[in-house]
Amino acid sequence: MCPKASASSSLWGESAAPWVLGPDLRVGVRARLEEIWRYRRIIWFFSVNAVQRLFANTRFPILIFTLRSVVPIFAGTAIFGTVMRGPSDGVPYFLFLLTGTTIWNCFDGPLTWGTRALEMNRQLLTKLYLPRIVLPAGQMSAGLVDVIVCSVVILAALVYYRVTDGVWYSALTPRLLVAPGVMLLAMLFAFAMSLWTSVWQARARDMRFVLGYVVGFWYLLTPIVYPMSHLPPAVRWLAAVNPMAGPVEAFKWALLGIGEWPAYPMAMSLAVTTIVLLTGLWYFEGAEGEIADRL
Amino acid sequence: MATAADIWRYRRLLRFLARRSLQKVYRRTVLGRLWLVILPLFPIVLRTIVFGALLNVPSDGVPYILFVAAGSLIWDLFALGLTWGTRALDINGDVAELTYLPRAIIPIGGMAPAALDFVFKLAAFIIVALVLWVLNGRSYLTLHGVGWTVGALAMTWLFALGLSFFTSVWGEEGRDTRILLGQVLAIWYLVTPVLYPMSQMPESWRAWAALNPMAPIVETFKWSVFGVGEHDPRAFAVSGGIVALTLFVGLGYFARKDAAVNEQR
Repeated sequence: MCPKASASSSLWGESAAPWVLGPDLRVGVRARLEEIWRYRRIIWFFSVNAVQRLFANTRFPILIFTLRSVVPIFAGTAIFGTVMRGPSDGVPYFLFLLTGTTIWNCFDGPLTWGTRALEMNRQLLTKLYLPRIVLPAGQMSAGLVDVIVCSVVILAALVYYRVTDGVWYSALTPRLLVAPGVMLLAMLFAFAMSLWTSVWQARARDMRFVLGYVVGFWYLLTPIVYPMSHLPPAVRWLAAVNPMAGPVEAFKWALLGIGEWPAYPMAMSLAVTTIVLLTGLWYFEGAEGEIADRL
Repeated sequence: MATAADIWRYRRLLRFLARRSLQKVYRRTVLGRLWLVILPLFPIVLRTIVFGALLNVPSDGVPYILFVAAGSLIWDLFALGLTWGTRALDINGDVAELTYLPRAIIPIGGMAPAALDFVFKLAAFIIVALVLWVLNGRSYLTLHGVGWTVGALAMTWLFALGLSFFTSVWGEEGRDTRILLGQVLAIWYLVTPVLYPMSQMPESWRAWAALNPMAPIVETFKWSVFGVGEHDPRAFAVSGGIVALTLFVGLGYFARKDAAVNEQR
């Protein structure tokens, strides 16, 4: 009989049964998914812990992290909006860039933090047993602080433009419901990718440099700074193939009502996310055993 | 000043501090030291593609890649110098607990990764210039007075050092300073003629550029290298004054504040 974890509530002191944290020796992607579900409380704990560690050792966390999220958007608006007069599908450029960046950050932040998850926590890994999948899943939350800040800024911006331009750039239609769904898709894609990249990063820190620039280029290839409609026809296929183009356009469509529902890119995103997730779980499981030795 | 004399006496330690800071870059990587050569090139490539090829930013008649290589050369010397100088106390502070050393030497040595980055960017710049010379048949470099070039670079380094004396002390109390510094540098970078020549600066920004001590330094550097661009010796001298002031006040601030912070430990 393979040792399995007993009732999850005991970790939090609610019952007397001892908590046994043992490896789930069943193999297979389905087993890994069940493992995630079973250890959801630990994942939650790690998520909270990751954010706490992010804020640790800073004296003015809220101010600093707000500035950190918002300043690049102002800078981008200054260059691409004001100086270069970039097109923005009928809404003020600041709002356009802000919404695009917000949905992108749902992907970027969790991916960057998920990649570092195993390497950052190596001391923990080498000391006690932990289902490894908990780490990328939990660490992603540190990247979501950015998203929360940006979402608040979106609301503030909408109010601001209501006051100055007299227009609500958003509308309370059922379309809005798509927005959180698309954000979750972006996060799921980030998680799927981090299953691969965290293993690579644990083996060699080089990954961090490479990933930084790959993501930077990816950002430019995705219609965030410019609307998808402005891509020259020769390059349109790139947008269709880019798994992040779908969520970004869909988010703007849902929230601001601009552009059109990107059917093909969204289908592409869903397909790619599913494939990367399933193969990622398989890959992660294969590498799990050796990670502690390699770190 | 007693501190300056002390620093000179302990100059051998600079090498040790430099090595420690450098290792932070490539530790535990597969490519190891190779990254020290590759990383300096990334920003040049990225900026050329984004601002040169995609956005077609004008560059006063010089091929954009060469233009931005020169701009990156001097700007990154400043930005990386300041960033590493800020981190220096964090990385190397423990050495002071093991042996006596004038603490002011720590930011100086800690800026080494910026110096190395400069060396490799300079190599890349020269190679690009040579390649363009062969391809286009003309050299874009007109060395208008090497004095200005060297002066601009020295001022950049000293300015970064002077500011590091402040930011490294502030950085000892938490990560806020480092994060803020990143944002400040990002904005500063935009109002300095690094990616574009001063002649292209939007009128509304000119006021900010007048307040920016780095603007005359960068523009003078490019003028002395390429022979195009604006050359304003007066603004350059004003920047020089600001740099000297920052350096002296910074050293004094560091000596006093740093001792006070460490009294509490």
